[in-house]
Amino acid sequence: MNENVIEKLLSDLQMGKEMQPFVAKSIPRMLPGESELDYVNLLVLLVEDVDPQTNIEWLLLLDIASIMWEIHRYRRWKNAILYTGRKAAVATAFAKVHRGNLVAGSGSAIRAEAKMDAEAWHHDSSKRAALDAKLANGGYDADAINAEAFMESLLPVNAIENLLLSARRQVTGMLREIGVRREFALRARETIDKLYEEKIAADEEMKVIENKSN
Amino acid sequence: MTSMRKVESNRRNASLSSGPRTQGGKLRSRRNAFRHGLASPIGNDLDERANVERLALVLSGHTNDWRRLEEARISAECYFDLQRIRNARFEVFRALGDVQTATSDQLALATRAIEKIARYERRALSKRRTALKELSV
Repeated sequence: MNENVIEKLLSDLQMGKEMQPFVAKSIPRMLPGESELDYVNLLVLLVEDVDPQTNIEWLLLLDIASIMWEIHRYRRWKNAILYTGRKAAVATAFAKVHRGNLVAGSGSAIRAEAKMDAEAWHHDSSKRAALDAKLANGGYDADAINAEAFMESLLPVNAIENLLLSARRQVTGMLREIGVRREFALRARETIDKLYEEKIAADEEMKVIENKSN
Repeated sequence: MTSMRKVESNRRNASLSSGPRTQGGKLRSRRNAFRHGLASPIGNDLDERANVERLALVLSGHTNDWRRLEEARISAECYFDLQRIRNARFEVFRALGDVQTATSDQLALATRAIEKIARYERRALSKRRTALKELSV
């Protein structure tokens, strides 16, 4: 079903015949939870927006679509890191407020219990109030947990942010490239038109002079 | 100075570890240094080489101008190189599985792998930018 829709959407795109096989092949492989139809819809939106005029512009547009799809993946990844960081931060908080901390050699048992408490804190709403109270007794409120989560995921989130920034820069660069090419083509066309006009005017003037002399 | 006993012992040990001997072992070890294959030129792949030539002709507008064709070829190579790089990145995402259930160590490892791949992407994009500029002149 989706394949027919995708085929229809791709065939509706106004492009040169030669570019068609490359456009069809440009659809990236999908991860679980992603859909080719979403990707093609993104491509269609970009085509409507940018309106590529030449094969080179089509090539750049295919790259822009791929990069935007990856930006979407990076965002999902960043959210996952933040979520994992939050889980780890809650477990750390539970380990820190555990009463058994005073007893030497109980580290692994405390960590295991803290992990279980953290899981319950995330998934079991009936235990949430009691666990919140336990954290509050140890001096952990929502802000403290957020700060801990931020610290836990600082490095990987920073790396993803750099990748996101780089991808956005690539998109901007390619869009600018398309703009520059169009501007160049427009100016070249204007210059050629002007030269032709001058040449035609000069030819006509010559003809008038010739006619007069005859 | 190394004693003769030590030298002989070294020789004996070295002869025991002279690498794979069976055909299968040799075939496997041949790919030991292979990580993602992004450092090898795209032209080494015969299928891709044919695609590059096809796209180069389209981009150059089937010109006979060898300089223009060469710039178009570089642009086409970079385009397929970028696809290969994105495939490598896809493999990292796929190996990670469900990002929601991944551990922080797995996420950190994958992030490092993606950062390494990004280096090749930057290089290919820069190369293509130059080629496209030449192509428009």
